[in-house]
Order: sequence, then C-alpha cells, then structure tokens
Amino acid sequence: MESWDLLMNFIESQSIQHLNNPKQVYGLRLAGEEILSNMIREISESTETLNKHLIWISSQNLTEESITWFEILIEDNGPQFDPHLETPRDIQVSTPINERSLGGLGLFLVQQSVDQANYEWANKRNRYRIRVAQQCP
Amino acid sequence: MTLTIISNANDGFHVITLEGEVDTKTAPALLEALTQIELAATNELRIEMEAVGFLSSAGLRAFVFAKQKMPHESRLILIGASDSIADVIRKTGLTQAVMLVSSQDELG
Repeated sequence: MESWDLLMNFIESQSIQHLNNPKQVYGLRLAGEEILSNMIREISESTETLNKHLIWISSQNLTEESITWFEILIEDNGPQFDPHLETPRDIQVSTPINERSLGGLGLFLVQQSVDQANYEWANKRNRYRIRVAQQCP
Repeated sequence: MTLTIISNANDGFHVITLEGEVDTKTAPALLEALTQIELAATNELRIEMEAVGFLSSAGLRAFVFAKQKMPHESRLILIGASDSIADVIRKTGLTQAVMLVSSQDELG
C-alpha cells in the first residue's frame, strides 16, 4: 500500500493529460483502482512465496481498426489470476440488500467503467489492459 | 488520496461528513467510523458527499455494511454525491440500500 498513491496518481494524471472527457478519466481511475485492489488482495491471500511484489504501470495511445484508444496497462508478478473480464458479471442487482453477496463488485465496475478491459498471463506476469476510445474534440 | 471524516449525532439522525476520496486505502477509516455508531439503533444515517471526489467498491461495501446493521425500515441517505458516484451506485443496484438526494433541502 506504500505505493498506492503513486500508482493512482499516475492513472489520474495520464488520463487527464490524454483525455478531454471527465467521465472517461473517472472511469479509468475507477477501473484502475479496482484492478490494483484485486492484485493486492490476491497477494495477501496467496500461499505462494514471493520475494517482492512488483507492479508495473504504463499508458499509451494507439489506433486499432480506425479507433484511437487511450490505454492503461497494469502488470504484476503475483500468482496467475484470470478474473475473466470478458464474462458479464451477475452482481445480483435485484436481490434484496440483506441477501446480496457483494463478491465481484469491483470487477463488475471494471467492466462498466471502461470501453475495453482484458487480461492475459504473459512473461510470468498478470497483465490487465483497460481502454477508452478517444473522442474527437 | 486522503479522507476526512466528521461524525455527529443529531436529534433523530446521525450525520457523517466526508471530504476527500473513498478508495481501498481510505475505506477502512470510513468503516471504523461507521462501527463507532450504534447502527442497530439508528433510523436515519446521512452521509454528506459534496466534498467526495471519488468512490470505489470499497466505499460501496462500507455503505452496504452500515445499512445491513441498521433497522429494516431505516434510511441511509447520501447527500450531494457527484454524477459519477451516483452513476456507480445506480449501476450496481445499490439504490435499494442507499437513497440519493442532491441536498439537505430535499429532506425537509
């Protein structure tokens, strides 16, 4: 948690710099926060021994199929964990609050907050990409 | 990312005023403040959100925790939540747990 502010400030500052839409900036912050929170929880609950938990974070603009995206890439060296971001989540919206389990709420918000979110395991790293389509000014 | 919490008991309701951001790092402090209230005997809990710029699922869970401890017919009211925060609460179906109002004026 000691680097939490550093990571969140990076997401926010890069998003503000590249996007002119406050909703998209908020969405990326929210998705990034939920992913980082899950990463930290996975490490704390893991039985695997890890010398040092490392997190890498970067951003880029890229164009694919005529769409220009702004992307945040978040990676870590924790145990492999696929959150199945492509699978729609049922968070029991209609269930009475006293009967609801709130599991999956964070990953649901990742899916809802950005235009694309995906996961892969590559080079022994968990790799999450969250993207928003850049809008013309 | 910081969060300031002020908690006050009033006649008939309790008010928590928040300033800052409610995320994974600061939500435990909010949860702690909520556990200091006698929620089982609180019929109305108002949370002033005008100065809150960000709320993640950690914050949502804290609100749900509070509502689940409160009496069945009680009200948990978020006052002045931003559009982004209100949108998150609606998308997650938590408007059945919390009531959203723009200002204290709506409460009479």
